Amino acid sequence: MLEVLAVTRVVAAPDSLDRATFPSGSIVLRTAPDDAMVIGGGTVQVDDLHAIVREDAGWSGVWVNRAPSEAYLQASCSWPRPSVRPAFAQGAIAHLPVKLWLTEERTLFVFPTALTADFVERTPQEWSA
Amino acid sequence: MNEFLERKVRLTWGEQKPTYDVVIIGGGGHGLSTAYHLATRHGITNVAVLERKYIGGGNSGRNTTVIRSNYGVPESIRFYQRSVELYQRLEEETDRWIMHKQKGILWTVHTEAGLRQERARSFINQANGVNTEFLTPEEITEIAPEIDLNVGGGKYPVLGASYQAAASTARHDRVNWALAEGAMRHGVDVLQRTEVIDLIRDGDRVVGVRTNHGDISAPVVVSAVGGHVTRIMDMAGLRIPIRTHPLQAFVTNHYERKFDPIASSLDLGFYVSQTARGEMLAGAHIDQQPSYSYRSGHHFLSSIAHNIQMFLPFMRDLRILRQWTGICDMSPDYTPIMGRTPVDGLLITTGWGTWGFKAIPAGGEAMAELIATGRTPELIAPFSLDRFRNDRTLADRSSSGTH
Amino acid sequence: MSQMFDFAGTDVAFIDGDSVLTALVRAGIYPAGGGALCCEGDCPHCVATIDGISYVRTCQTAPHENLKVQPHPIDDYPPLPPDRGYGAPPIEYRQCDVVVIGQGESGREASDRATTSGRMVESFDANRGEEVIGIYDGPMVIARTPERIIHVDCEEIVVATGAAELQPACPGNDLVGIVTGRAALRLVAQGVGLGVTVAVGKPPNDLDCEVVEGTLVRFEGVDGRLAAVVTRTESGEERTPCDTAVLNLGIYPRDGLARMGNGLAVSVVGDAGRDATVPPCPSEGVICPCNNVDVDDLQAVWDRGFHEIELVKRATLAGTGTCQGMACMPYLRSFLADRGAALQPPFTARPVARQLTIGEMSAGEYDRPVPRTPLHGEHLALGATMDRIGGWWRPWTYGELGAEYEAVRERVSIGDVSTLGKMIVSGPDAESFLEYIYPTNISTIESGRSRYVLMLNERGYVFDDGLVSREADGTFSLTFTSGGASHAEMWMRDWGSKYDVRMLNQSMSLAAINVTGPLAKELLAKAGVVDPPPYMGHADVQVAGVPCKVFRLSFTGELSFELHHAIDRSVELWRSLLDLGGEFGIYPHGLEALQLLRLEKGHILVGIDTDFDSTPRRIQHEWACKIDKPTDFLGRPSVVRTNEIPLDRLLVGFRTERPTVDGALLYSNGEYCGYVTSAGWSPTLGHGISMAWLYHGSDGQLPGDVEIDGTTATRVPMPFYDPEGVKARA
Repeated sequence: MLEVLAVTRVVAAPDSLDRATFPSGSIVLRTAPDDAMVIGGGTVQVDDLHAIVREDAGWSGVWVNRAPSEAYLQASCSWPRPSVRPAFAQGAIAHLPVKLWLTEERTLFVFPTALTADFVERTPQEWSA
Repeated sequence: MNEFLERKVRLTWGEQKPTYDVVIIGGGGHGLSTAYHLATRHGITNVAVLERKYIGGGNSGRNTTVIRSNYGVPESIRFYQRSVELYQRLEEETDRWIMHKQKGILWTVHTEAGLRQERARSFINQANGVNTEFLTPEEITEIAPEIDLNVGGGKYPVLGASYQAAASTARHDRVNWALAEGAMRHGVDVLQRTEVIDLIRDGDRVVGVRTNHGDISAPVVVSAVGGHVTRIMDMAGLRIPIRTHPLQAFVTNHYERKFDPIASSLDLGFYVSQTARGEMLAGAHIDQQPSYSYRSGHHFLSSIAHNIQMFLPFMRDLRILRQWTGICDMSPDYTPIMGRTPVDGLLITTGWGTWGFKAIPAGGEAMAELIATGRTPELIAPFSLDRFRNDRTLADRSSSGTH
Repeated sequence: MSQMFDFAGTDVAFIDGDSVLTALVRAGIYPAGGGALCCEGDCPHCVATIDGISYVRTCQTAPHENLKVQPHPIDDYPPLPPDRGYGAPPIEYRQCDVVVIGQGESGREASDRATTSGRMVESFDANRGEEVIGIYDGPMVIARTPERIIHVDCEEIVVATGAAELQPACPGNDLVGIVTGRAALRLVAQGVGLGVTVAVGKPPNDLDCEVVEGTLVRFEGVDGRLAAVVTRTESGEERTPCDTAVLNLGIYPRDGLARMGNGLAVSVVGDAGRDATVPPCPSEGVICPCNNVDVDDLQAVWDRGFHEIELVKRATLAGTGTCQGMACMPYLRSFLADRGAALQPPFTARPVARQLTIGEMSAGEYDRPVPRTPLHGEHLALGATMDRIGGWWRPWTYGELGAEYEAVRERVSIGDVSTLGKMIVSGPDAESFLEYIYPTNISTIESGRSRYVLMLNERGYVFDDGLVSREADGTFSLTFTSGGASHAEMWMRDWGSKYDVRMLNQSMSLAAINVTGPLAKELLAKAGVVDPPPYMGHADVQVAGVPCKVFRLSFTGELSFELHHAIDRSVELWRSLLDLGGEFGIYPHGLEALQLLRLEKGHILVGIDTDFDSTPRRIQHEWACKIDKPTDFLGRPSVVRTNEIPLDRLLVGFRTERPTVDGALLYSNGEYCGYVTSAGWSPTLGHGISMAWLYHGSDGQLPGDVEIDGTTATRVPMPFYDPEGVKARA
């Protein structure tokens, strides 16, 4: 089911971000050395005085069971995914900028909400049903 | 025998001599055209054209052969229009079949911004003697009923097009050969497999070239090099504002000749025409990553395949025969660089980007006049290298075709 | 009961193991006329149109019921196919260590070796219907199976494509009844009768037939069918009557893929890597069956100076047809070597190694993604015409341009400006970094205030504009143009790498609604904003219950507030504003109205009114370029330098009494002197207004009044509307 994700973005000096504490139960996608995307809400503690911490309403996502997600990725993702799960990966999927959170059972596809129409158009119907 | 066999051109190869009046580096269209015009217009025949591989083997033999003058700035419109006119009589002048054929070129637009841009093109073209019209979708259908006006199920509707009816194509190889033969006939030495290793300098002047077959002295050295022009200029200690990018193209198998115009969408990133042999020929935009590589890429092919079949649905079922790559010397303002350089004795014609083929006759004519008279012809004065220093660039990105 | 497919209206039976070709030959049908059949996809003699797709090799196609086969036109080219909609087969992406192309003996060995050493192997074999299209940078292999396109990224490629059997180059080689040795075996295995069969050269072991003596001279035929083979022996020419001639003229490596992969991690094993020994030079006959080039043709161009193999190819077209040189390359090379040129390498091998349709090539492709603002549905519901503008879908007009304009100028309106680029910059170096990026003073921007900024490149040319705002916490909020935002972000990150800064791109996370018009303040008051920020100020406030950062600036020329807010609250805010604004006669405005409104104010649109080489001076924005500011900034040396050069043109405003259009040309005393970048008819002023590039005359002076579209245009200062900015500051 497609949903708008509760995301907190934390942009901070990389070493501060390494030391940061994130809410338990949240998913932390380290999209860049100085950028973390925290899914699930809660308070982030980071010791960088200049850190930018913002609620970010711009992301949507869909959880897909592992088997169908892998079948889909084989036909729409030209780069290899990490073989060990859980893992984070990002890149072009079906020519859209997508971030993947891969767990043993499921895969979370994360993409900018502004591209929802394009995402829906190029993923299986049941994902957005 | 097939009907396209070259039946007339006779190439008479020269031998390298130690001294020439003019040495032209690069046996592509511009180098050969410069030699041709030196010999035929100015009686200057003690000329060598040095070609690293075989004549016309670079971009002159890899381009998609579009001849048009629908540019966006008056200086360029006038220059390319001169070339259009020279092309129209090149067959008669050389008595060689260059397969010149008037086709008309459509540049379709799919947004309001595109519409305004192409309508503006029609104004400035018409004011400079080039009859580019702005067409409605209905008029486009009259010219090319094969185009789906509702491209992509309405995502990219065709809102109009600029159309230059006088646009044409010619067979690139035959243009190169006709000019080479014409120059050779007057005594110009065209030397294949002759690579320039260095420029010979005397103080601040360039006075000759060193090739893999020995030194040549010449009071005038012209770089008509494609692709590696930055390296040749480096030999003279010059940095020039050129970046070289690959551009890819493909042809399909041969089909009945039926699709008349050259159709292009800048928005969708391709242009397409049908050759005399019936191949559908398509070109793309330049690769963003600069490179000297002729290696073919895959992504370009699949992405324009996608867009082309939306635009011309009949093309879906055509089989691709071959793809290839040319490399384009892009200047910052998408306009050529011609004329003198800061180094005496060294002239340059470059920056031919994706638009070099169409300029071959006018470019060679103007360079020859500069060499023969020592005066820069008015037609190419705006294209001088020093325009970048003098803040007189001729920005014309939207006219370069797809890139 | 046997199965059938259709050939030009006739049923053709096929059995297990048949290709379309073997079934056709069994029925006595040769879809492309004659020529030496190879049954291995090398020659062009079996092509046909299958299900509307021409140039399909029938020997590589498995038959099935409902298949429609049409003969290949012998004397003409196939027609262009009809429009059958568009579509692509599925694609599959694979990754492995080694790709082995070809699964003959050497290919299987290569696969086994790699597998044994623990490497992950993908293999393709044309005999299994898996055709490799090309080798590309990566290295990467693209292949086609009957079901899908396969795209494999790998570390290494092994080419084991074997060798092709040489085609005959002699008179009569286009007759029906000539086959290669391997073709003969395949046909016999499928129970196809070959009639009286003779062999030229050693026939395959399992084939029982007479071997003719001597070297091949020509084939003789009756009505296009082979009747006899003529050879030369020591005792002269010998004529051997037969129905079928089986050829063993030698083999030639199938090295196209290997050569295509030159420079990449590609190795060659087996026959594909053998020396390409050329056959004896033929004395007559067709050598390029695709384009009908014979030895006389080669001689004709040779005699006229065409000696390089590439020039001979281009002059005769040999090697540029369906088989891409598989048939003719050995003979082209032997001809040139025989005539005295050195033995030249084959011409470049390029994709595609096996043809595929444009539809097939588009596998894995999609339309270019175009982002939508959260208000997309609202615009559609209001009847908006959407257009792609600056890379986004945006409302061009709601169908009532006059009403949209009037609401802004006379009452209040809202517009969707969510597409603006938005970024937060923080960090110890934030201020000094922005001082370097922007030609404006940044340090003097006070907390809670905003400033208009240009962005210049190293050449001193304007490539974007926007707003810089300082927040109370010391961070900065930036905006960029909608279309320029991606480039601007790259620009910031590129230059920012030298500074201790943090950057967060919020372009797609924040929406923005511009509330504009003389009654904007009243509308905001109704929405609960009692103390809106002053002109060029900003504040965090709730608007109709939605947390917003409200910027007060003006693009339209009226009192304006830009409400930046989280995109998930955007629809709610938009509807509230429309609802609350009902009593003020609110009406939304689209881009078309906005472009007119800002033109009245003389605000530039970067990329429309500016060009690649627009200096601040040329666009009359020197006020936004402080070349004397205490710190250096990007583009300053260029601006200082070009400011010394006499100006050649200026972006100026014109008033006309008739409407003009974008792109209209300017004339001064009949001389061209510029063009209109933006044009409109101002309902408020009651005359036409244009922004235009005006060129200096040869006397170095700017023309005064000019003609546009045959009407006099008077140069007037911009803004056209409310030059003192009273309304925006109200």
